Amino acid sequence: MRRRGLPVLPILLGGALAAAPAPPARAQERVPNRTQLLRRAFGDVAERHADGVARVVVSGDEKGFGVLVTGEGHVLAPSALVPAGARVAVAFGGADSYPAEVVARNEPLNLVLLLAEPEELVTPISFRNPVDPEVGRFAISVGTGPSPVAVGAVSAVNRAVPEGDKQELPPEAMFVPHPAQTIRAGRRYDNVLQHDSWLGNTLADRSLGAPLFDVRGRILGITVEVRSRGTCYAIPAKLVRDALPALLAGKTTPAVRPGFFGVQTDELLPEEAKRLRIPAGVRVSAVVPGPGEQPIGAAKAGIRPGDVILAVNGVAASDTGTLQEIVQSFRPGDRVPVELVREGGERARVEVEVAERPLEFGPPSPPDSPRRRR
Amino acid sequence: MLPRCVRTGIVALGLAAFAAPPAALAQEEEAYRKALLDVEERIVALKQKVAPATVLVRALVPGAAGTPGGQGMGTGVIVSGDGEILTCSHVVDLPDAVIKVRLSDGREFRAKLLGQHRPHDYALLKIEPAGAVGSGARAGAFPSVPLGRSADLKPGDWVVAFGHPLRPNRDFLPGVTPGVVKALGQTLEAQGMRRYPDAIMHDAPLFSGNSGGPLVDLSGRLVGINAAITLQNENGFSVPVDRIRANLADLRAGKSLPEKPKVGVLEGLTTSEADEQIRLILKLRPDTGEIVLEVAPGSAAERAGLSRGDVVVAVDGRPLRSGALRRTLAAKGPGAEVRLGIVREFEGREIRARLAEEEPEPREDEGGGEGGGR
Repeated sequence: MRRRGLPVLPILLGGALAAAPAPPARAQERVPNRTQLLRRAFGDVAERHADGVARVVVSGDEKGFGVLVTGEGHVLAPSALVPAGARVAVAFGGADSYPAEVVARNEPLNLVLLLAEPEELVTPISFRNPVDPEVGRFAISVGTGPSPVAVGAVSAVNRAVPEGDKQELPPEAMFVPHPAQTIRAGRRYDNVLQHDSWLGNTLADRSLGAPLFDVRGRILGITVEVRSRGTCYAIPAKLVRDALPALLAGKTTPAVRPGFFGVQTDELLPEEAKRLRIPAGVRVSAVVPGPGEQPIGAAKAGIRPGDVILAVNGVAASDTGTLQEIVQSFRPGDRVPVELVREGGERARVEVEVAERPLEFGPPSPPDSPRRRR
Repeated sequence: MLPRCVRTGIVALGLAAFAAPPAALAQEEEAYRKALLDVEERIVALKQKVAPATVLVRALVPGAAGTPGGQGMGTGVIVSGDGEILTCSHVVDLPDAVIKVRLSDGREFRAKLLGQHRPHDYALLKIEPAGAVGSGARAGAFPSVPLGRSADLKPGDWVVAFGHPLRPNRDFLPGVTPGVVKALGQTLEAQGMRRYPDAIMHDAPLFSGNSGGPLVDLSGRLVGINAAITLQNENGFSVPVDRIRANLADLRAGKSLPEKPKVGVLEGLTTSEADEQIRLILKLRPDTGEIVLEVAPGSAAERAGLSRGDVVVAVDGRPLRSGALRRTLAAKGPGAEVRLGIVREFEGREIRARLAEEEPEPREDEGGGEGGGR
């Protein structure tokens, strides 16, 4: 039932399709449709791996892709695609879809392991030998078809993304607002590979859940989130490999609420830093109480507005963005030492019990806005 | 179910077909693929040189006591070993901003705004070696990116953008996003007063935070400064480096550009558009002529010999459209001697007049620094 019987055919077809438009385009020296060229140029990568890619069908709708990771029918997909209790099925190259059940989830990685029993199984995609992704190299998203669903480049590795990080509208230089411009607030990630595709907003959506390969067809990761303008976050293959045994054993790793200090902060100007005789720091402009106005986190530890935070757990809080990342790297309940300079200039060291971000706070504001709560 | 060995066999067949393409078109495709692999290697190679010269730029604006300040965030590129940085005007043009730049090696410095071109959106900063922020930040020779020639770009050329979209990475390494030039010399009216008269249009993915960052060609030379995007499609726009190079000396000299253009004026002359009746009587061409309403005593207009009731019909031998006299003289510039064709008492004659410089009008924007008309 698979249509992979004649793998040569798509290449020929692709060539035949290209025959008509190519000569006039060259004659006019127009830029060729690079999207098509790229997808064809890296068609072999899709040819090699499309068998191991599934379409994930949730409550009757195709929501994205999944990656076949075992010969028994285990499929890894973005956890956010599959709500708890939803009816889920997977489909491979053919039209048939097979009901699947959730085996386990790894919420910090935004991955869910599904198990289906298709009539025939094909070569799974192996994560045994992941390569280290390198910034600047091409990244190819493979779906179930004979050419890649998206081609882009690795734009950043080992990137931390705070919870609810929004894609803010660009600076004032932006001039043509797009009605479909969505500001998506997503999950928090400790370590993702960022890749950007040239296929545009709608098409890039298609790479959700798709495995990502380099030009030699080596696995780089699984795309678990697609932001606007084709920015994609992928879980690096190494992390997928390390997470697989627990998932296959049916062990779910729950989401971790990001840590919360309960402070509003401002950047410290170099003059102020000089006056306080410190290299850099972050000024506390307000402390935030917890539920029922009970002091939590920073307030409970005696941190007051006007204090300057120098370091948390020995890591210099050189600016507000850094402080945000440090704080979010702790878990609620952790006790971390915080070094301060008080308004009078005396140094202090307190221990803050990391709180849980209150839900009514919503997602944290992005780091480049003037005022933040953390 | 297909046994695994059969399937691998088919895959191998597919690859063999690719290696020995049956048609010329497939050969072309293979050539494109080879070119792409070369592009990838060049991107990875130039990254080693451009990334260290790419800086995070922050413009911090102090808040009044106890209130939050604001900040602008973007990217810049070091273009000389002594720490000159090109960026966008819109990243640093905040009143009383303290500008900090951070290299990916962790060094952070204060920088001074030397000069900028607000409407065309570029600015030149200079690292203040004494302004090292934090201990251990020392100025030496800075890594820099050589200026290339944007005039040499062609549509279809690969370019690479470096920058800090959305937020800096935790290691402060810039994001790397390749793309191709789609068009050159694009005029773009942006929000506010900004205007890009001859932007490079490309599809290297850009987002908020990329502003001011370098766009380099495949030899790693600076060809543009990333400035704007359209949200409707995937286009990014960069200020061409040739435009900036032409004004570098002015920027170094601390000038804010554009300097107010010098405008010529004939002092003491008040005119209004000739009406149909006058044109009929004097047999003037349609839509031409301005009638002199008033000549101030002792003014340049009087010295030139103009008097009330004269009708100006030509400037320097060219017919004068009604309503265009002021504009026409302004464009001749101060000090110019102009020949005015006039009709006085049904007789045509020509008089000569020397233009003065128009008094500057008060500037409406807060800018400062270029107030005088001289």
